[in-house]
Amino acid sequence: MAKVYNKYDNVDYFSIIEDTRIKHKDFFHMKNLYVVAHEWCIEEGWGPRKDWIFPETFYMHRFTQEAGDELWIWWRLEKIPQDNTFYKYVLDVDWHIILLQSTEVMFNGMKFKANTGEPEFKIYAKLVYDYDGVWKNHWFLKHFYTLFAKRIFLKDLYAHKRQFHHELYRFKEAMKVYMKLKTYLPEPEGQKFYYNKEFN
Amino acid sequence: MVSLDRPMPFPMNLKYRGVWDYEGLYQLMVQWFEDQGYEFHERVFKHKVPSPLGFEQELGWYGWRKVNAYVKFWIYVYWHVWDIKEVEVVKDGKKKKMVQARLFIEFSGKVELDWQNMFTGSKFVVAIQDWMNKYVLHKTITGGWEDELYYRIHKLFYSCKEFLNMETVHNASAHRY
Repeated sequence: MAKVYNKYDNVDYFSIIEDTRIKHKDFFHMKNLYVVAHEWCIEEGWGPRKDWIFPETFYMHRFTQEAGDELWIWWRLEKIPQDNTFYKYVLDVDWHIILLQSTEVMFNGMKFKANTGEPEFKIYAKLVYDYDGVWKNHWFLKHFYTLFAKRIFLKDLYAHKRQFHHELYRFKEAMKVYMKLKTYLPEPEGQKFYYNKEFN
Repeated sequence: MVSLDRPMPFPMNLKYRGVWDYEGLYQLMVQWFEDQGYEFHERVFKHKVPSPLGFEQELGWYGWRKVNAYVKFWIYVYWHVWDIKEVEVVKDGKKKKMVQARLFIEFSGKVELDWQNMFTGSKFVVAIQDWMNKYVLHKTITGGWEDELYYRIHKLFYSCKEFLNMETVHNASAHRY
């Protein structure tokens, strides 16, 4: 029987958060939402600007006649903080949009094409260590790998955990700012550069 | 082996939302490339009309310059402008056509080593080049050429900020290069 491989099979990782979600049911503009998320990820170093290597591993669009369309988009984002050779941040973002339909809305006396639907973001954040397997595959270092990873580098691990945690919440904040949901960080993400769902 | 393409680690990003002179900024940047002796190319020019808020444009530029027989500088500029609407403003008593839009510009670059492929042909020559880049020229590459490219791109970045009359028009490294 064929074996199914998972990308976390041969690496050690630390889950920053098991599962965090944002869900919203209202009108919004699908393309603008996608642009905000995409641009945020590129600006923060989570993906390249070149579209053909951007880590969107799956895009499914299911058309239905009455209920509205369904979309599944998987982003498998990675970032190596400050060219670190030991730690890597992995952010898996699953978009799931249901009941997606086209509609028209009026703002500031102008008619805009928009969408209604229920977008949901499922976000999984994992801090991967020894991502290249340099320690684990080295004939000498492999004997000290566990000691270093779990004891001697512990302070580093916590520092990266805090930083990653902060970045994860900033991504969520950027999405929440677009959807005009309540936020709690001191400054809203996006610096009012991108439109929110009300084209402001 | 030391890589012969040495890109800038992080791009510089500029964002602006408001009324600005598109034509002026476009000309300023092209002129800067030409004044600095770069061969300038516009690789991409995309135009889209998506919403009543205005049209969208995406531009991709690059320019290169030979620094010496071994080194070449490459500068890349990526523009993305959303919701462009042409407006007329009165500036210094004169009517002027400007645009109201959201502007995003990304500046990046790389230092290309051995652009003439002088060190090719045998493994021995390649090994000599690697040794030279790693030990003899290491400081000149990292602290010299890479630094120079960074500050030159920074000057272009600063010129754009100055043109857009942004709040932080202050160039701390104006004396460099």
